Amino acid sequence: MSQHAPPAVGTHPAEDAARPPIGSRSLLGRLLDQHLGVILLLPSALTFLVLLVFPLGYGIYTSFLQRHVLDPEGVWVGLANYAWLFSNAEFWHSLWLSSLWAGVAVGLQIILGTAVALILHQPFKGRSLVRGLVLFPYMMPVVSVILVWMLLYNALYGVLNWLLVQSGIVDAPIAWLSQPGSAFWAVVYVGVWKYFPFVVVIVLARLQVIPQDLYEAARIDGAGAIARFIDITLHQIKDVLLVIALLRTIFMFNNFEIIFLLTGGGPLRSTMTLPILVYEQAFGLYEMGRGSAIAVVMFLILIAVMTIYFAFLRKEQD
Amino acid sequence: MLRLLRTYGLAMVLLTFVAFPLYWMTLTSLKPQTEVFRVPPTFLPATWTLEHYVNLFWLTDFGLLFWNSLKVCLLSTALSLAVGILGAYALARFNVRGKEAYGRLVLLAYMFPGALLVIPLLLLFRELGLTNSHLGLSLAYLTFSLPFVMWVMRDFFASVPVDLEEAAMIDGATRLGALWDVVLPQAVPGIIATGIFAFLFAWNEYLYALILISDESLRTLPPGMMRFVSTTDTNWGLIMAASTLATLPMALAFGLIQRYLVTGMGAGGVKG
Repeated sequence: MSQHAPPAVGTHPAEDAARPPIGSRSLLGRLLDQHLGVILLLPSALTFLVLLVFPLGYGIYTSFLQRHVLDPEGVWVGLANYAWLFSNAEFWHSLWLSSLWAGVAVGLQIILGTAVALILHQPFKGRSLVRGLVLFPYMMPVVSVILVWMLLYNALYGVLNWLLVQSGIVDAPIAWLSQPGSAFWAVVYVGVWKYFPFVVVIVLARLQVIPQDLYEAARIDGAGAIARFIDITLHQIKDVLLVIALLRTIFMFNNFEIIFLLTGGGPLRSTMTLPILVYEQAFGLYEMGRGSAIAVVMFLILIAVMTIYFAFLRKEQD
Repeated sequence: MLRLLRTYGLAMVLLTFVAFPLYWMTLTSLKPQTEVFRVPPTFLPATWTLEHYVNLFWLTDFGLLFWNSLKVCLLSTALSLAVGILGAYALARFNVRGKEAYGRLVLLAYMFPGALLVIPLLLLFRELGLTNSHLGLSLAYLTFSLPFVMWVMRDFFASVPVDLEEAAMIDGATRLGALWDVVLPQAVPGIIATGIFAFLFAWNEYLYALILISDESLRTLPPGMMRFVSTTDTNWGLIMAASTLATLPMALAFGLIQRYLVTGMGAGGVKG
């Protein structure tokens, strides 16, 4: 089992394994191998075609329709849904909120996750237990997370308010989730709490493969702790951080459950991110066309971010 | 010494931050209903009780919800592993034309927003009679679990030395034979870790479960549990008992695979 180096830090050493494998292989054998590759890919390709590509196309098509959920066909309205969208202040508000939510939550996840990874990289007794416990929020089912935080945030008997009032930080209990000013930050807090372990795991794995002699050499050169951190640690993990930032931004931007279940987008639309706007249009107002148009815009944003990601990967491989 | 103390101090702060909600969830599930609303709150139950766990199975349909979730998640995990492992092996070992582009599409698929797919999937599945069906919901879950499995297992296969397969093939094994006898046994820890993550994603999923299933007898845990809240007087003890039990399978699974976690989390091609 020892040869299972975590692929997270690996390259593709066996990438050329497909070179005509063994000396004795004839042209026919090579051809067969080629076809075996295609045959093995077929089931997944078919699944993607049926469950992703076709629905995606159908979704884009629907974005040009005015269609009630029960309407079997809908009416072609061209770009009317998009025109409605771009002239609608609620859409721009949601786009801004989504970006803010993704940006703030991911930024905090990265800072907190990196700090925690650095702590858990230090040797101390009970470290592996703490490492295991830190993962708990990530593996806890979303609905359980939501329900616990609803109870913790509760204005009447929530323990969080009680602790804050007792310690004199606030004068009176705050209805965290039902005030426009605090609801956004309350959901951000839950988003950070739930997903920062993801950053911890990846950064910790990266920290473990930084060559120790770099630190030794820097120490001999007289570099202080802060200089060593910036010049070596941060320098070594910055690529990983960038990739995590990109991926987590996409995940948070698309995240529906956390906010929807905690606040439903309210109060007063103060947490109405794009995925919730899609839900509101499609399943609250049964406007399948408008809902699809918003979803397509989200998809285009995803494509833009992924293009940056792939460009980055290519640069790394060179 | 000072440094060690500081590390312990920080570790304690971290544990409080991470573990307090878990502590509160478990604790509340063991308090009688009247004590849940008590101010100041009790940090250890004054009266310990298991009544919420009993009620969960006697008075609510929690057992059914749990069973439905288990069925859907196991089915979608099995499907995504079976299809995904074959595809991942091909991507790692064969020179198929366009495989890099295919690999990228897989990653892109993994990033698809659920909000984008849920509308067309609902409209299509209704035509195909796949709404209100556990098979339909499992298929919908393939949209994120299959790309995930393929992406992670591809890296995993790439890290398994190719020599062993070559040796097996020199000994007369076919490609598929080598995959089955030599590669798969080596990849078991990776497959288990990947499978647990695929299961976790499905276990968590709320939107598809809400939209694609409307029949109460087929409902799965996430939407089912949220329904406990909207009843007129929220019984938090009962809800926390449900939350604790819903967390249990994942806690067990993660405890078992802690060693291989990084493998699963390497998803998304987070490379050194």
